[in-house]
Amino acid sequence: MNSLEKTERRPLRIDLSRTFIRRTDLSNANLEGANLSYADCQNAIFRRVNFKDANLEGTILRGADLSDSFNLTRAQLDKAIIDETTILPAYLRT
Amino acid sequence: MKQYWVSLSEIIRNIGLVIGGAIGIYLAWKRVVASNKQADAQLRQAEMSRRNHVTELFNRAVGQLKDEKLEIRVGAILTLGQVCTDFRDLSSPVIRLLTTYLQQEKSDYGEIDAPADIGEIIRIIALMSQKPPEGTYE
Repeated sequence: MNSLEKTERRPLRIDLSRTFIRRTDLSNANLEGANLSYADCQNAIFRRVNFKDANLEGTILRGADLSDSFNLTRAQLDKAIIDETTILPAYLRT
Repeated sequence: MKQYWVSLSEIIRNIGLVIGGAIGIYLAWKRVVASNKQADAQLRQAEMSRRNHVTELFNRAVGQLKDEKLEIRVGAILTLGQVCTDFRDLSSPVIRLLTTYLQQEKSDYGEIDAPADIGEIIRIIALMSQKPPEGTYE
């Protein structure tokens, strides 16, 4: 079986590192394992997004809407740049 | 004596029928095999045509991504999005191409809404991320 005939299904590897994607809408995306390091996502919308194992190092999330996103951890957020305008999912609002 | 010849002729006739039937079955089987081979060849040909068509679409869209007119770039991105949807095995390389475009054409548009090309790429990424590709170029 050559590389074109692989049939296994796995999530897309999404590399949005160092991109400028302010005010874009990634709602419902599956960002499992995605690389968003140092991306400028200011005021972007991430509703109902799966952040499992996503790399958020240095990701600018000021004003971003992360409501109802899931598999997002405090450890991931600690590496990102957020402020009081960032809308966090309910389970991380403490 | 007459009975003997009648029996013999019946035996010969039956043997002839069996041989004739066997030959008929053999010829039918050969025909089925030939038809299957022809169908396989047609499938391979169709797959090659499909690949050529998508490659042409892909190359044209890649060339247009650098166009200075926004509408041309958006058209190219929409074409690539359609390639993703119609040819799921190509979604991985297309997404990689689009994310590379975002990284290379990093434009600081400040506090205004994202330009149409950036917004469309993000929409495609969000959509395709929900559907794992079926076999990918890796």
